[in-house]
Amino acid sequence: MNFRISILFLLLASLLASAAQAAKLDFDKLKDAKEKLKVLKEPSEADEIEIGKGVAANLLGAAPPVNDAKLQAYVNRLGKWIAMHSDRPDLPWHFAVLDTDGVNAFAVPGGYVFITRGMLLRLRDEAELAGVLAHEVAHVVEKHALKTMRKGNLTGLAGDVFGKYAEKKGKEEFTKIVSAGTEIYARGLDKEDEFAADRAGVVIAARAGYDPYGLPSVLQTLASINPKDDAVALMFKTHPDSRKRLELVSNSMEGRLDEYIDSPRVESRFSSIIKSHLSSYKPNL
Amino acid sequence: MIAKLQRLRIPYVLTVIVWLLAFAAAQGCAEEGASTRETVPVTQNAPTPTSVIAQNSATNKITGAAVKETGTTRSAVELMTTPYRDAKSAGQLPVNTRVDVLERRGGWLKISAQGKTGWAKLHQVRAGVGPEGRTSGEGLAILKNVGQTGRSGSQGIVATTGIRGMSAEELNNANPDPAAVKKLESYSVTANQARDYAKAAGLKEKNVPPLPKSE
Repeated sequence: MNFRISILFLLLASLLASAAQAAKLDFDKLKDAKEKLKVLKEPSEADEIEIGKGVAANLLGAAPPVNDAKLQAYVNRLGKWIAMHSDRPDLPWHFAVLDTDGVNAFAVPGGYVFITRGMLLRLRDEAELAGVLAHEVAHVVEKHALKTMRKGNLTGLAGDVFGKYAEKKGKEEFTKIVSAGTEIYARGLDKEDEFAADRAGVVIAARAGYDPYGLPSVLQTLASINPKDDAVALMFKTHPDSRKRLELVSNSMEGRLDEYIDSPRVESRFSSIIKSHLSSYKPNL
Repeated sequence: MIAKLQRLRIPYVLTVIVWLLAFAAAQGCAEEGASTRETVPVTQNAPTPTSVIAQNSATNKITGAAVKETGTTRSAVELMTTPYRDAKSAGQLPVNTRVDVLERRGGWLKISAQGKTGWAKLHQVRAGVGPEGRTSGEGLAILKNVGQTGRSGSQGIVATTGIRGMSAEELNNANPDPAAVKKLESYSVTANQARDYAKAAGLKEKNVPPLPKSE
């Protein structure tokens, strides 16, 4: 009997030891995670614009702007008007259509907003385009990409990297920040930020005088695309389900924006711009 | 004997507790890892066997921009006589019914099928035909008619191998193009240019309060 009891104690002791080890490991991991969870200091607006320019150069390296000055002027007039109805009207806003068949749109810190040609060609009218641009403008205004970059655990940025960049304007920090910033577009933002940009986007579009249901109409379109279609692979990977987005933004809008639904959708101007683009389109290789 | 057994049980109980603690700690670690480190598998760009564009181009005649829009019901739909939640019913349509989309108004679509016409909410109708139907945008509708799909189409390759998208790898491996940034900066416009352009389309600024988060 004594023998059995001592075996039990031995077993117990070894278990306790391993548990203690596990607890220590756990504690170390926790400390590590806490360190990484520390939110980095926010860069100044001037630095945000510089960093945005670097990230924009990377995105344009992956897909060049469509070689159509008339089309680019069109999205810039529209985009600027929309941004003027946001909370950061004075940023140096730039808009561009990217020459890729992928269906997507991107918001880069500092005011660079991109929509792909694949997305543009799936839109019905200007109110839908306004809705997409307003969603992206909302991301910039609410600094969603920047917020993601500042979470060191997600991007691998650590310490006072923005502060160091601000001080020395070092090339090394700049490259580090810009490459971490570019990765966000392959991985996506927090899904709550996407829902927030949908809500803010319909409001900005309505303030700019458009039918606020442009964005929900686009979400209906996206929800109808075969998810196996190559063109939507990246967008679907980086965004919450379009049906969920449509449901949530519709619920938020329910009964609140009805007085604006007769605002223009601007079909004819959109249609003639698209037709003229298609008739002169040459791929930007 | 019973007393001995009871004494023996104490270490057993302790062992169980220790095991449970160790298990809980391990679970905690796993969860911590999952929430702080987001590893998303990169989707392979497997080409789709046949593009819908190519399939449709044969059946669509050139009709300019006004291509009739069709859709399919996602669920059984109660049609409304007017685009309001508390409107009167205009009949029901079963799930997966092919419908014609006649009009869009706010969050509503005026649809017609099986001799019934009425309003349905945006989320109740999938744009395009069939369970994996595809939508008709203004530009795509024109392209369908012409039988080309932009980049690949204009190179003479009809889109039978799927559309080239912008992949995560392409993004991560991209070489920066600062010249393209310069070029797009040259397209930027002034507030006055934007204002004039908005005015030309009859857009009027509105005061709109922010929206609350939905449940």
